[in-house]
Amino acid sequence: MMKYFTFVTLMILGACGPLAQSQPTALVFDGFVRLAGDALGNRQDGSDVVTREAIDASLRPLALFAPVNSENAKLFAAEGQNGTVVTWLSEDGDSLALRNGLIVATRGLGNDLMGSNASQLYASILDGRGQYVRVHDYLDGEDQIVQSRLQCNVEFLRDDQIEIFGRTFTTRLIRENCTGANTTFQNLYWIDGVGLIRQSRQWVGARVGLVDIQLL
Amino acid sequence: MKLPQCCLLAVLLVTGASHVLAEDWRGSYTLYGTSGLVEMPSAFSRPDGEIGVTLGGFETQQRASFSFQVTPRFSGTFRYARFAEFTGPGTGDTYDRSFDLQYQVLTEGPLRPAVAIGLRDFLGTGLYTGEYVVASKTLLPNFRTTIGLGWGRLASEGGFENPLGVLDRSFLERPRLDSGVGGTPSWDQFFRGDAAVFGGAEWQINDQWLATAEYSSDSYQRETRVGVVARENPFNFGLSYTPQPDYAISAYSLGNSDIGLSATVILDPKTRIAASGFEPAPVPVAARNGVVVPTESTVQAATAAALMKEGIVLQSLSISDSTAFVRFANERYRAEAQALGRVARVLTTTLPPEVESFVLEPTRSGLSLSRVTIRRSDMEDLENRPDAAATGFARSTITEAQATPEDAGVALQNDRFAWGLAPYYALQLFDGSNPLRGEYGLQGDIRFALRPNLFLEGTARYRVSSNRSGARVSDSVLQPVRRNVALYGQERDIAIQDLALHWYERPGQSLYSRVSLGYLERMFAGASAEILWKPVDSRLALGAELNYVVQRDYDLGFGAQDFEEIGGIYDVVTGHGSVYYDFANDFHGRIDVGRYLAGDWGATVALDREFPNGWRVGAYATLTDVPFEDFGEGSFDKGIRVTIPLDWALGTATRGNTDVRLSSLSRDGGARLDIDGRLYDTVRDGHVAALQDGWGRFWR
Repeated sequence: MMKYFTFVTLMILGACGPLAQSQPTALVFDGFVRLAGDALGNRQDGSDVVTREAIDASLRPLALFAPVNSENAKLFAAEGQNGTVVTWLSEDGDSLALRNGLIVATRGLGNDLMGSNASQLYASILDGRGQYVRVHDYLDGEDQIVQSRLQCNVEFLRDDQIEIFGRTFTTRLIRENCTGANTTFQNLYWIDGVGLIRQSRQWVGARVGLVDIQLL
Repeated sequence: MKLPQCCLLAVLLVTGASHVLAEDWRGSYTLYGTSGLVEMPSAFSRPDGEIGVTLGGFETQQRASFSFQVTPRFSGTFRYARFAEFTGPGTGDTYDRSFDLQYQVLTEGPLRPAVAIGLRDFLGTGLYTGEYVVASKTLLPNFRTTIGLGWGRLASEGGFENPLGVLDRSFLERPRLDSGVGGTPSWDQFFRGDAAVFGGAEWQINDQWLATAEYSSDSYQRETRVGVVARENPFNFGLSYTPQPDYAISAYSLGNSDIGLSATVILDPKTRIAASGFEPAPVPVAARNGVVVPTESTVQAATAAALMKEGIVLQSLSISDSTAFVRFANERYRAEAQALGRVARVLTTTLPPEVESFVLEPTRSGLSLSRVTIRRSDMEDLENRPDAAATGFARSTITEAQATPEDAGVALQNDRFAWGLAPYYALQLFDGSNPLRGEYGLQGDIRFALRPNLFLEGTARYRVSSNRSGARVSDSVLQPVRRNVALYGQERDIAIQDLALHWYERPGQSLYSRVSLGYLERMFAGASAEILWKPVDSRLALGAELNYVVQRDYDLGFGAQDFEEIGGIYDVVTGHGSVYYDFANDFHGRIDVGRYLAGDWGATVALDREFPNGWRVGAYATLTDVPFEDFGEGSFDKGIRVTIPLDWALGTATRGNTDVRLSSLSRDGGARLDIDGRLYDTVRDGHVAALQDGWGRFWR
C-alpha cells in the first residue's frame, strides 16, 4: 500500500532533478501537464491585456499576432534587428522575423516558415503592382529543408482607414495572390504612409495557415 | 496441371487492366499484419519507411504484428501469435513467433501488374510457414485485384501439383519440417509441394472505408483436424475504417464461420505533426554596430549564461585575434547541428565585433567530436533567407577536433554533481510464456563529474509493482549469462542498475577511447576498455573492445553471484573487433567479431535503416560456436530493434529516445555486455554524416 502511495505521489510531482528530465516518463508527463494547462484555459489571451496606455508605456514596439483558425492572440515585442529585418519575440518563446510588418520567417509555431525571400519582395508589395516568385523554406519530418516556390501577383484594392487600439491610420489596402504546386493563398496588407504594414493577414504555411498581425 | 475456371477469369481481369496506378490508396493490413487483403497478401507495398503495428485475430487465434517497409520494395513482418486450444478444445494455449519477408519484384505500371514474392514464417517453428508469388493490379481508381500462387500453408485449400515440378522433380514433394529448436530458415521447404491459387479484390468505398473480398488458399488444416476451426468455405470478407492516416479498424467474416477483428496503428517516421518543433525560438543574430568592446571575462560569463538558457553548457571560450574558439556540451537538441546554430547565434550577440570566425567544437562525455568553422558574416547574411541551411553548410568547414587543443582557453567551472528522480517502467514483450511482463517504480540517477571526460554515473531503481516471479529459466549446458535474467532483482525491491566510473580520452587524431570500471550493467560488473578510430568525414569506422567482468548477485547489490555448478563466481574475458559502415542511402551496417559472455566465439551482423530525424529500425543476428541444440529455442540470437526519437513524438526539444527490442528469448549464446556510453554512438552525432543529416535544423 505504502509503495503505491509513494509511486502516485511521485507521478504527481513528475520527475525531479536535471538528470531525470530526459526520461521518457518525465517528458510525457510534462506534455500532459502542459496540455491540461492549455485545456483549462490557463493561457491568457493576449488581446485582453492590451490597452492604448499599455502600448504607449511599452519600451519596445509591440505587435499582436493571431492565427486565423485559433482563438488566441499573442503579443510580440521587437527584440533585435539584422539589416532590414526585425525579430519579434513573444513571452512563451515564439519569434517572428518581420520587415516593416511583412513576415520573413517564424520560429516556435510547430511548422515554421524557416526562411523566405519576402524581404526582397517588400518593395513590390509596397508598390502594389507586379509579379514575382515567392520562395519559402520549410522543414519536413526528416529534418530536411523543402522549398516551395509560388507565383504571385500583387494589386492595389483601395484606400482604407483602420483603427488599432484607439489610434487611426490612413492606409492603402494591397492584396497579394499566390499560387504554388499545392497551395493557393491571398495575403492582405494595410500599409500606412511611411511604408509600415500596420495590419495584415498573411500565409505562414500549411498547418499554421493564415495569421493576422497588427503593429500596435 | 488444371487451373480452376474462376482463376482464368481473374487472370483475364488482371491483364485487361486500365491505366490506373495505386497512388492514393490507403490499402489495408491483413490479419497477419502484412500488407494485403484479409489473410492473403497482395503485391502492393506500403509507403517507404512505414511501420504498421497490428493487433487482430478471431476466436482461436490472435496475432500481434510489427511490419516495416524497409525499402520501397522490401518489407518484413514480425509476428507473435496465440493459438488457443492448440491441440483441441479444452487444451492449453501456445504462443508462437513468426517472421515474414516480401519483395516486390515488379512495380505496377500502366499495363503491368505489381508482382511480389514472399516468405511467410520462414524462421521459427513453422505453424504459419508458406511461400507465395502474387500479382496485383489497380483496375479502376477505387478498385483493385490480386491473384497469387501459394505453397505450404498457403496451398492447403485447393492444392494441385506444383507447377515448378517441370523445372525439377524435387519441387513436387514438400519434406516434413524438421525445425529442431526452430529459428533457422527452412530452406529445403521453400516453394516445394503442392501449390494453390488465391486471390481477391479491394474496393475503396470512400476516403475512410475499404471493403475487401478474398478467396483464401489457407484451409486451416491442422486447426480443423483438432477441431477448433471449421471454415465452411474459403471466402473471406473484410471492412476497414481508416478515419486518420495513423490508424485503422477492421472487421472480417472468415469462411462464413468466424468473425475477425483487428486494429492497426500506422507510424510514418518520415512525417511529423510539428516538423519544426515547438521549442522556443533561438536568439536573433545581432548585426555588428560599433559596440563597446567587453573584457574577456565578461564575454565568457555572458556567453555561458546565454547558452545555459538554450540547454547548452559552455566548456571553454577563448579569443585570439579575430577567431573565437568555443567548446560546448549540447544537452537538449537531438541534432548537433541545431546546437551549433544556437551557439553561433549567441556568439553574434556576446562577442566583440572584431571576431569574424567562430571555431566551434561540440563535445560529448568530455570528448571534442569535431571542429566546425563558421564565419560571422555568413551568420549575418544568411539569417532568414531561403537556402540558408544548404548555403551555410557549404560555406562552413568541418574538420577533426584537435586532440590536445593548444587553444584550450580557460575551462569554465561547470556543475560537478547532477541527479534525477523519475518514475520508470520496463516492459518485456513476448516472453515465451507470457505476452507481456512489466514492472514500474522509481528510478534515481546520479552523475558526479571530476572532469568533463571523467565521471561517475549510477542508476538505482525502487520497484513499486509486484515482482515478475514465475518467469521460467530453461536448462542449458551453457553458463546462464542471460538465460536467468528474470532471477535478477526478484527478491528485493531496491536494485542498483549500474554504478561505474567512466573515462573518455582522445589518444590521437581520429581516435577515441573509453575505460569503464564498476557495476557496468544489471548482470555484470568489472572493467571495460574500448578504442575507436573514426575520422570526422569517414563512412567507415573501426573499433575494438575488451572487457573483464564478473556475474553479479541476483539481489542486484554490490556482490557477485555464487554458482554451485562451477564452484564459485563466474568471470569472463570478452571482447570484439568491430567494423561500422554508413551507407549513403540511410542504411547502416555493422559487424562485430569476438568472444561473447558465455565464452563463445562468433560474429554479429546488424543492418539498420537510419532516418535523418533519429528514427532507426534494424535487425541483427549473431552466430557463434554454440551449437543450435545447446543454444535452445530459436537456435541463434537475432532480433529487431527500433529507436524512436522522443522529440519526434512529443514536439519538444530533447535528446531522449525510446528503444524497443524484439528478439529471441534471452539466451546465453551470442550475449554481449550491455553498457551505456559506448564510443560509436557517443561520437557519431558530431561527425559530418550526422551534422549533414540534421543541418536543416541549424537555423532552428
